[in-house]
Amino acid sequence: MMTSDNKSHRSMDESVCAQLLAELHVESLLRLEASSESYLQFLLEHKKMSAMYWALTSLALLRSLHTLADRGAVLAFIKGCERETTSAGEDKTNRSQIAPALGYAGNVDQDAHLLYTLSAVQCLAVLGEFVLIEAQADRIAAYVRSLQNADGSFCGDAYGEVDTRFSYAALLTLQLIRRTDAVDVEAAVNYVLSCRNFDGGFGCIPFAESHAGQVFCCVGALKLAGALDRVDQTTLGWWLCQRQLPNGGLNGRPDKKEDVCYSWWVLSSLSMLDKQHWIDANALGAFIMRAQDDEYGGIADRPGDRADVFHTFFGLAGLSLLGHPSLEHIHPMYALPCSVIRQLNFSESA
Amino acid sequence: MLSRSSVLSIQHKTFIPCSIRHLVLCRAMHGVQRNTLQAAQLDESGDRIVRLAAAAHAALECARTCLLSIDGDDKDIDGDDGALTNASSRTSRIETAMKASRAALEVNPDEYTLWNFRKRVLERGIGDTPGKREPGNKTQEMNSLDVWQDELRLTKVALQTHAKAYPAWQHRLWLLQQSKRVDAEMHTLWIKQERVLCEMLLAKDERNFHAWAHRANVKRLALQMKSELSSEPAAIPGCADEHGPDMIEQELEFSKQHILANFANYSAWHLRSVTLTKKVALLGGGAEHAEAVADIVEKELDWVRNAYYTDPDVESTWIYHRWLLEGELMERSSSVISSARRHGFLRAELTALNELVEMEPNAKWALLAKARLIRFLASEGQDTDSQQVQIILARLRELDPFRHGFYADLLSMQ
Repeated sequence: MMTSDNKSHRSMDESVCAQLLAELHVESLLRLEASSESYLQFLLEHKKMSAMYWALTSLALLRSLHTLADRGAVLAFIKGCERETTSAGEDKTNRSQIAPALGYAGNVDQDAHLLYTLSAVQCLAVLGEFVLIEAQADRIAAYVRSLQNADGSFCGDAYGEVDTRFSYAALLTLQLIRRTDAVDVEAAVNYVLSCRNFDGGFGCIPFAESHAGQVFCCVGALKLAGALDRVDQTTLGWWLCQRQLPNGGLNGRPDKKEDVCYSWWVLSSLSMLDKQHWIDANALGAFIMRAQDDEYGGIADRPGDRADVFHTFFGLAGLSLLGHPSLEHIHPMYALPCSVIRQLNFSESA
Repeated sequence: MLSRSSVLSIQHKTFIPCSIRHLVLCRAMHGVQRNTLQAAQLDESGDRIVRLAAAAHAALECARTCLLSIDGDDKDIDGDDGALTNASSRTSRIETAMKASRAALEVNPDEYTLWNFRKRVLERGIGDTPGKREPGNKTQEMNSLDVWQDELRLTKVALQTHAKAYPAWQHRLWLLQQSKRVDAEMHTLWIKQERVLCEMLLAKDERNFHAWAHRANVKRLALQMKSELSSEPAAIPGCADEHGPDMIEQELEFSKQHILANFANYSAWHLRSVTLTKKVALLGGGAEHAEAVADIVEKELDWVRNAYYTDPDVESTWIYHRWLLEGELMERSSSVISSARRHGFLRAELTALNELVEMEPNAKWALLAKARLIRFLASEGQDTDSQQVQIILARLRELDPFRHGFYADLLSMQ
């Protein structure tokens, strides 16, 4: 494990890369599409839009999106989750609205929510439906704008929950639809900075403990706003690199257990800070590989546990950031394949 | 609107989780071991899931119909029936939908749309004051305090079994906020009692960040309440005392209990750092508080020393240690405490770290803390062996190989 060459920490060894069960993972993801029951999994039903984003992006990372059997059904599903949100009681701001607002729900019978609006736009982007995105852009922008509060924070929906996750979801959605000027970006940045802690990390609201998931959202939001230079990157990087545990996996907070999902949240944050080499790529890669289900495909939260689509996506995304040669590169800020970012003509270094 | 069944050929009636792997593949389950679930258990839970999914679907449909009916009423659009029939069928629709959504939420509180539905029904009741009610209008029951109490209980039931369900926490916070519009006394009581629920859930999982964030949100509500009450001091006598400096002492005691129970509970250390920052801010920047501030710092250093001597490998302790030496408290104290006293206790801390490192030469956290303290003392013009910083970082680079790149970058920054 110990090496004197710094570079060996930046990428995985061939022996680790060879452990990826790519075909099994594609099969497990396609089973989600083909089998009528699998999408009905009770606990994911309300956030099927996000599950769709995890599954589609996983397939894209595995360079197997073309194997999707019924693309039309996916588009119909996304269409079925569109929600006009200008009805009474839902528009909580007094701002004049040029376009009627449009948000997306977690499923066809759910309400609009910012998180699923981002997931829907990401799904459309992965599928290359840029014309569709542009056609709805003004209405989606109106929805996102209606959720910003005076202090710069964002609500998740019309019912007022505030969380830094929504700051990222709002700014990324607007970036993807090219309507960043729809909100007060400076206020959004100031709110995110108000959730920064001494340890360099960020919490869900001011004074809340740092959490790697929130750190990802806050670093992403600041990066989207071009404001990452306003934080102490060395302290933040220190906190992030300490997430790696002796088994190679990453935890989300001090003295917590490792979980494959932090492979994405911690690593993408380090990547946005250009400090990915502050953790050991080989050890993390090997940990994710051990969490694969070698019988049915998919990746679990940690070795020996049950695989699911959420951890499958975050495991593959982590391996992609680590530079796995069989996987499409994922962009740490957009959480989308770099090929999609190129198609959108966005700068990959942004 | 597309129904669920038209999407991806999903048919509720034909939904049979025929294969065990499909059942578990898609559920975002944390910590469920492959070998601990027996096939029989899976079959049973599979049947259960079919029933629950159907119940959730029915509740959503019920809520949708109900909202259409309510909106129709609000817009004065009557259907085929007469107005009276409409009112009574609407009431029964609301009751049915409330019942169905309750049953569904008790088993899956992540169904946020069902919580939204309940908010909309409760909201309708808020403006419905007794004076405005029509006699015989059953919806007036929706306005009673019992309904709101019951709703709060529902969130408690949900959180007891699903302590990480975002929508249940959000609904509870919404109830706490909105209760002000329903009944001021109830609102005050609820906010005062809320710590009971948080403590109950933290007793089950001391790191539940939802519970910790909820505590922070409730404190904010309590402060809002206090500032509103201070303009009308007679409104709730004695309440304001709950949220003054006493609250700070309560919070310090609360964090202390959790830390003593487990040094590795960073959530509690974090609360302590945030609270001490507030405490010192309340003292003000005057020189008369210099001794008080210095005493706080020394007492905390003493305490944290006990923690790291007990177990030098607990990360939480060391993050708090770093906060003590470099955070808001020290920042503020540096303008108040005399530099002689400050350097005195920093040097004492260096001695303590040296002793630890002698006993535990591989204690990486202690080594890093030592390097930072030496560098800090040097920057303050104190006579220290600043060569040591490079030596320690080079040693850490070998001792902690996963973070080789981190130490290498720190070394190049020296």
